[in-house]
Order: sequence, then structure tokens, then C-alpha cells
Amino acid sequence: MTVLITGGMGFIGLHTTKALVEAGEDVVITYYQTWREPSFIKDEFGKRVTVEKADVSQPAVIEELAKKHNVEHIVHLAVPGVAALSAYEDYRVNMNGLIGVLEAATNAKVKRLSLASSIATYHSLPSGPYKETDLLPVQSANPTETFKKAWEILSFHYADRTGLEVIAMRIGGIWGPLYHSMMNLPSRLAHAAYNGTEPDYSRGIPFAEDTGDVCYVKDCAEGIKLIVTKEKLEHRIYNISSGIAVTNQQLVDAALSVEPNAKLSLQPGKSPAYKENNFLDMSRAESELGFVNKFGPKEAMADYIEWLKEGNEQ
Amino acid sequence: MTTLITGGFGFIGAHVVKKFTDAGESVVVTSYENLEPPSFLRQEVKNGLLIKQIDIGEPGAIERLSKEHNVNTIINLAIHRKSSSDPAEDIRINMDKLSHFFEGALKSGVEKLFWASNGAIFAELPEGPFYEDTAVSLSGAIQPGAFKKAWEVLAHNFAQNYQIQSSLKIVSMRISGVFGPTYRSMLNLPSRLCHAASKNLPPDFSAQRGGVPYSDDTFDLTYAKDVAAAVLALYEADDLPHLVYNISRGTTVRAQELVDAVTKVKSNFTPQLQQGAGPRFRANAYLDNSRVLKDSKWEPKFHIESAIEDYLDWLDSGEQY
Repeated sequence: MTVLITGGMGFIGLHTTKALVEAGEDVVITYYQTWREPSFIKDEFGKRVTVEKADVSQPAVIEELAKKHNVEHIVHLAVPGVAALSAYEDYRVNMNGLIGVLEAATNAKVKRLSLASSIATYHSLPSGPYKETDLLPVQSANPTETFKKAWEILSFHYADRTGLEVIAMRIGGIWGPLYHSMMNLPSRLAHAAYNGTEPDYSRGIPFAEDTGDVCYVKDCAEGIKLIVTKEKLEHRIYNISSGIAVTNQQLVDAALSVEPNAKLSLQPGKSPAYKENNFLDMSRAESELGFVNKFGPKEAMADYIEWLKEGNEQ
Repeated sequence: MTTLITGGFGFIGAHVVKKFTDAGESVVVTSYENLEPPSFLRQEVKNGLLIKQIDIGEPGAIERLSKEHNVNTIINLAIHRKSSSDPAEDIRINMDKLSHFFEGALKSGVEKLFWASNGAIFAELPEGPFYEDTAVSLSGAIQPGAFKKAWEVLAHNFAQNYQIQSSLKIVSMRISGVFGPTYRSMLNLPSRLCHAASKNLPPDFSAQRGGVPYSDDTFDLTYAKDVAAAVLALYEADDLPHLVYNISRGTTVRAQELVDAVTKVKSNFTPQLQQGAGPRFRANAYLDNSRVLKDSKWEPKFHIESAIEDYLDWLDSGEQY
């Protein structure tokens, strides 16, 4: 099978590519601006992995690639960077990108289209655990929450009208090698522990008891691989994350277990934004896909810091 | 300060234009297909009501109009008629219209944009009442519900989640079922009953319209003149603390009550309904209206009986719709 991953040269995309190649699939990955060739996959470029430059917001671009490479499955991960564009451009790229992959999937007779949705869809709920069946508020607090909700509404509408199989993957906070925006805390802690510096707390010092559902990128890639390769799926929304509300203190402790001398501190207590049971319910992906996280916070931190120590592209 | 009312010769739009001009507001009206004003706007048209034949979904249209007429508020009531049987093209047309619209409003410095939505966004919920912050299912099975949902989700993002120069405020108006003068599509039951009663004909209970109604099925219905008054009241409110307002009488009406209200005026009009509730009955399926009652000066003037009487008077005066 050939899988096309839009934004496949991004952080999650490259790890997913590796997981799919190891499962015996051929992968076409697209990139827009940034070329990357991390050690774990570059030897497959030009072999199992084909790289194509593509602007997903332009009509028919993905469709042509899907036809050219006899693609049987599309994974749509490409999105503009957070806060990179104006309101209008952000809208144009997100929505035209979605419509482009919907058309590509139909016209190239792709078996299944899997979309990167996000834990952000649950952002405006007061507490968790977050289930795929939860009803969600119309108003959204940020553009990511907005566009992922709009993607799901419109792509399910499209699926109902055309019969295309569309799967929304609600992906948790993902961290690990190649992560570069440094928005999430575990990535900043890993970098600080490796560099022997204070973490970047320019957005404020995190609270020790605040929690989040973060998932190591290699586990996330396995989850996406299962969505792609499973012959028959019973539902059209799947949470993909750790299913655990890990505290910031546990993340610091994980980093300290790898680098005991790291200078990592937090402020005590909980922030006003603290939510109870702030994690994704993973029972659907566990029971249907057999999805399990192989990396706990400590194993993940050790793996990430080891990667940084090896001198890899960060 | 001018208010741009899009779809101003449409069913709800014409009633809103009437309320605004009666209140002495300066308005510009867009109408794309409908160029004949309803009789109750003929005087306003003679008096020089500004009417623009324009498809507000075209790139640049909103910006051009808003700049030309110094528009500070937009009331968007235009139905986007252009659609496609190709689902991807249909989504593209509808989403492009939204982005052209908001980009135009942002670029021309419009301050307030009132956007018409409706209760279809709650179509997948098993029962009501539906509050402004009631959560929804992201499934998109029902066409108007899917696009209204996506529009609402995306609209507030434009206004709130970016560092933008403009002070644009977007308010969603979720409007209940509406009936009254100039309604044409004849989907809702009170319109079909009143048209039939006025012409002394049996009502259209054909299969195409859903068959003979069930007496205990309920509807969330507001008279067109009340809806228009609510839009004006929201516009006139100094500072709306919320971004979404339901416009509804805030209760349900049974099919049998609608029939009885018509029979009260037209005593020989006595159509028989199927007894009980139908298979699609949902309990309390109405939009709660406590927010609009609290934050604006609106209250509905018409109950079902007085609305039906007013509507029948209009039809009996020789109006076609």
C-alpha cells in the first residue's frame, strides 16, 4: 500500500513515515518550506519514501500526487504554523487544504482519509476525561480548536454525502525528537536538561500540580500507523494520546531521573487554568486498535535526551 | 452610521428592514435575486431606500459596499443560494463566501456584524431546551446544520483569536423557526395552514411535505415581526456581553394548537391530524430565550393566536404570500 502524508516532513509526519515503512508500506511525504532528513529515515528517501514539494492550499495539488503515486490512503497532517498567518490567510490555508484532500481522496479513489484533529477540540470543556462521544461547545478559544472542529464538521458532512471513509484522529500533546515550536513543557524540559540550562519559561513558570495529556511522538506514530493499516474501523473519531494526566512535577522528575543535575524548577500548586481529569479517554483506541503507549514519561525523556546527545538534528 | 442589511428583500430580511426604517435608522439593503419589494416596503423604496443588487459572497463586495456607504454595522440575513451538487465544490462555495465576507468586514472597519444562524446546529441532540452555550455534536449529517455549525465555529475565531487592528465584534443570532407574511417555501406548518385557510382549501399534507402532521409534535416558532424586532433590539443594545443570542419565543407549540388557532379565525377550517407524537418528536426542542430578554429590550409581542390572526389578515387582504 502507498500512503500519502501531507506535511509528512513535519515532526509527527516523519515519525509516522518511519512507523509505516517499518510496517512494510510505501510512503509519499509532502513538504512546503522546510526540508529535513533525520537519521532515522533519510536512508529510505528515494526508496520506500518519496518526497514531494506541495502547497496543500492550492487546488488539485494533492490530487495529482495521489494519482501519480497510486495512493491508497491519505493522512492529512499539514497545517500552517501556530500564529504564523493573518486571520484570513490562516482560514484560507486550513480550509482550502481540507477541501483539497477531500477532493483528492475521492478523485484518486483512496480507501481512507485520516485527518489530524486534536486534543484542542476538547479545550473549552471544563474537565475530562475527554471521550470521542463528548458534545463540544461551538465557541473556541484559539485557532487550532476552531479549525479542527470545522474540519471534523465539514469532512463528516462530506463523508455522509460521498461515502468516503474519513477518520478524525484527536491527537494529544505530542513531544519528542524534531519537535521545534517548543510550546509543550516536556520538550522544553528535555532541551534544558540536555543543555544544562534553565528551561524557557518566557511564557510563565509552570505549576507543579498542573496536568496535561502528553504523548511521546513514537507512540503517536504507532497510533497513526494503526489507524492507517487497520482493515476495518468501527468509528470515525479516535483519541490518540497517553490517556494519562501527567503532572508537570512528574515530567520534571522524569528529566531529573535522566540528568540528575539539571536545573529544573516549577512553582508549587495549581494554576487557575487547572482542570480535573485533564486527559483523553483511550479506551476506544485501546480496545479496537490494540493501541498502547510504550513510553512512559521517564522512558520518553531518556529516549529524547539520548537523541539530543547523539547530536541529531533537533 | 449606516447599517448594511444583506438579503433585505428576503423573508426575514424585509421585516428587519421595515423595523429599522420605522426606527429611523439609515440602512443600505442588498438583494441579489429578489428585486421586487414586498408591499409593506413599497413606501420606503419610493422614499429612496438604498438597494444594491449584489452577491455578498463575491470577493470584495462587502468591503466595497461598506466603504462606499460608511457602514458600521452589518446584519447578514442573506441566504447563500449558490450551491453545488458536488460536495467538495459546495463546501468550497460556502466557506469562500464566509471568508470573503469576514475579510471585507475586517478591511472596511465595520464594528458589529450580526450573523444569522439557527437551531439546526442542535439537530443531532435528543432533546432541548437549547441554550446559547449548549454543546453540539461535530457530526455533519444535516446540510444546513453542518454549514451553520462550521460558520459559527469559524466566525468567532475571526473576531476573537487574532491580533487584529479592527474592533470587529461578531454576534450570532440563532433564530427559531419563523412564519408570517412573505414566507414562500411553505416548509413550516403554520404557513401551510394559513395559506390553505385563507384560500378555503385543504392544507398541503402531501408526503413531500412530510405527510399528515402528528397532533403532539412540537415546533419552535416565532412570528416574523417579532424576530425583526429582536434583531433591532440587539442592534440597539449598548453593549452586548455575549457573542451568541437565541431569538425565539422560548417555548414549543403543538401542531394541534396551530390548527386550533387557525380554526378560531376560520371556523370551517378543521383539518384532522394524526393523533399523538410522531417518530421524530424531541422533548423541549426549543431555543431558550432568557439571554436576549435580559440583555436587550426585546420581548415577543405575538403569541401564537395573535400571530396567526395577523398573518391571516395579511393573506386575506389579497397578498399572494
